[in-house]
Amino acid sequence: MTYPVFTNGTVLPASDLNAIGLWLVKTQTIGTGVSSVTLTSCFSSDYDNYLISWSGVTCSAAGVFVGATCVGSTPTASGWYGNTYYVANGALAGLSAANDSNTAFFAMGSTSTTYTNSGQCALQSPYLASETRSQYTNADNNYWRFGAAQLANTTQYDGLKFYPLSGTMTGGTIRVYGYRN
Amino acid sequence: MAEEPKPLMIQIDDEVREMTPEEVATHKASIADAPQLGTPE
Repeated sequence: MTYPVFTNGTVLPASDLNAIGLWLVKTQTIGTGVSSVTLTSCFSSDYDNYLISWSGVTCSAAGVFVGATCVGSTPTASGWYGNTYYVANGALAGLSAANDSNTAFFAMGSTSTTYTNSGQCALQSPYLASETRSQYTNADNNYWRFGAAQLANTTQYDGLKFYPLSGTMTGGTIRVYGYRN
Repeated sequence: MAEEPKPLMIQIDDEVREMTPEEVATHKASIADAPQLGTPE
């Protein structure tokens, strides 16, 4: 396949634009000292699958970022099942595991108080009337983590609640991208 | 005198405000049984 190279003044054919694979759906700046941030109307029938990324987030406690899919601004109260595996930074052995069993959230990444935090998480089918699935890999100065989770219902979720399991967050940006169907 | 605990703040899109009592209860319930996903000692 030949990928287009654009120059100023070039006519943009629909075929080229329709081949763009990732589209920025929503950008949200995080406020000061918030326990969570909810992005409404970020999932729709436009895309089956999404990529969520964040950067520049300062956290008050070390641990993990989690997410909950939302209907409007109402997050899931339960239903997520998954595992997170983690290893202490610098260690070559000692893989540990944590199990999310019927939790309100799915794990998305790490939080550190030493550095600003960044990461990404893939999410499939939040708006489809089918199971929703997530996957992530992330690291901070304490741990390297990876995991996946599933929400086995047919609810159509149109929003995302993003939050640290402990403490609060300040600043930074969350972006939601849709993978073109 | 003990310092009063800071209110929990919620952000929905661009709106940042204090959580309502119901939202506080929901938030605390959502993290109550969270497994230790590799939190440093």
